[in-house]
Amino acid sequence: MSELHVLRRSAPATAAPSEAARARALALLEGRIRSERHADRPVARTPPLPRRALVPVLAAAAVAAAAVVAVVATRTTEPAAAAVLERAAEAARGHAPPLPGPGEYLYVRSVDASLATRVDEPSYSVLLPHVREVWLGPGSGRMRTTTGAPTFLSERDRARWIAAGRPPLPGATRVGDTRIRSRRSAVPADPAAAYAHLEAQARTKDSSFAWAMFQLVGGEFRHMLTTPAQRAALYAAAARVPGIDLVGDVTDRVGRSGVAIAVLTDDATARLQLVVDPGSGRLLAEEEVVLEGNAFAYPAGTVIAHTTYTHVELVDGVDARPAGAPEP
Amino acid sequence: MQPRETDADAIRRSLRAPEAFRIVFERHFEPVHRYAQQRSGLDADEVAAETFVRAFAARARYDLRRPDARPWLLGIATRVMLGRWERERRARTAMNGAAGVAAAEPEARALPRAVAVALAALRPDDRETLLLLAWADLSYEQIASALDVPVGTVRSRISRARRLLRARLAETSTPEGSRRV
Repeated sequence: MSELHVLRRSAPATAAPSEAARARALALLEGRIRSERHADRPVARTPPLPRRALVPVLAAAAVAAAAVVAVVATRTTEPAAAAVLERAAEAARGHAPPLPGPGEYLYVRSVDASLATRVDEPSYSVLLPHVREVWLGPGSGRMRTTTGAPTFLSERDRARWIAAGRPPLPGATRVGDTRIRSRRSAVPADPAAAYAHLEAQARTKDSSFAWAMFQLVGGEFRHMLTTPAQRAALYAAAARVPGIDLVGDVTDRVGRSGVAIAVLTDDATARLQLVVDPGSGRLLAEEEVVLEGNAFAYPAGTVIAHTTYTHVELVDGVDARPAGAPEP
Repeated sequence: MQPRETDADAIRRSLRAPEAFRIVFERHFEPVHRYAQQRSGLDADEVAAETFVRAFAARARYDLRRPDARPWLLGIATRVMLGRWERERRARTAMNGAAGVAAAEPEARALPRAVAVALAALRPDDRETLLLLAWADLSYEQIASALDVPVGTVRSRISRARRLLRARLAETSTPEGSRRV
């Protein structure tokens, strides 16, 4: 019997909560609900904290094949990384798409992949690919997600799946389509104020400060309507994060060249990187890359989650797609 | 039949109509309370109640791509319990001095001694992660979401915790180990 089974069998017995406990908790919650209702103000939606995003339509085989990052340059120091982000900030201020006007939507299309892990032994992980399309209008929007077939990142994972009796894998092609609210980002356009705004949220996270800051920056880009000035402020805020590192020139999942700026986990077994095109100010991708000594035993440089942005453009309808963005 | 509103839908609706958050409470109060019972024993009522108050206040930051709010709520419950234990620990330290706070963790109250001793030997982060796996039945990815840490960190923590737990339990299963415990 494994230690996990021992632990599960040892779990203290529980009982349904008493009606009194439920009533007290509900009364406490109702009090908060009432005070907010009386304040009569809708809650500002702050950026969700995307752990790893979802997205597009790469063929499963292509996802697996693309799983190793093409790192070209050697690592340099923090000032060089900050300089890249400052340059991207300048470009974003001049080139980023404006907010959508009446009848317009910002179309954001991304190709994502994230891990799904079987816990019980033999444990294995698969990479689930998605294509995500988001239409963000002035007040409402739409999100459409197509999930593709899972792939193994290593032969070891595949062998463990076989040893487990080939249970059904998660994923398979399915489509989710939902209406969403679209929100303006609350990030200040001033770089120092933007940093303080993100810092307040990052300090509440369990992950390292730098990691949380990069996640927050990515979340703003991914889900919120931002002005060019706000995008510039987000890059500038990222440039101030302690411990940022210039990974160098990389090729993203769809073959574009960019520059990767990264932060590390506390144990330095993974990095979270923003891949930017400093000339245009476009965020090309967010990638989570494992390094030496990682718990998955994957080769250093393996991407275990990514969001790769393929289209960020204004369109004139909630069903419209720009040229070159076919239905997944 | 009307499809059931997901937790994410209810949370999104609650941003305009706060009472919609009751749906989240009704669906998840019991599992959150049960997890709090396992971890916190007699404090479960307070922990569960505080969890939903905090969740309501933080709902604007909920990742609406996640239809099931249970991992998020269990992550909040974990932070609530850690905060309470830390306050208790400080209070004990203030009263007894550092030497008096060998501090059995709260779950030790209801566990077989060997398991309690083994769990107490784990790093706090590792223990929280392992128990979300073993008792709350969350996946690695859900734990990463609940605790706001990379999934690789979850895997490392669980791997380290299981290794240590295995070693400790093996010690206590030997005659010599049994005498020690």
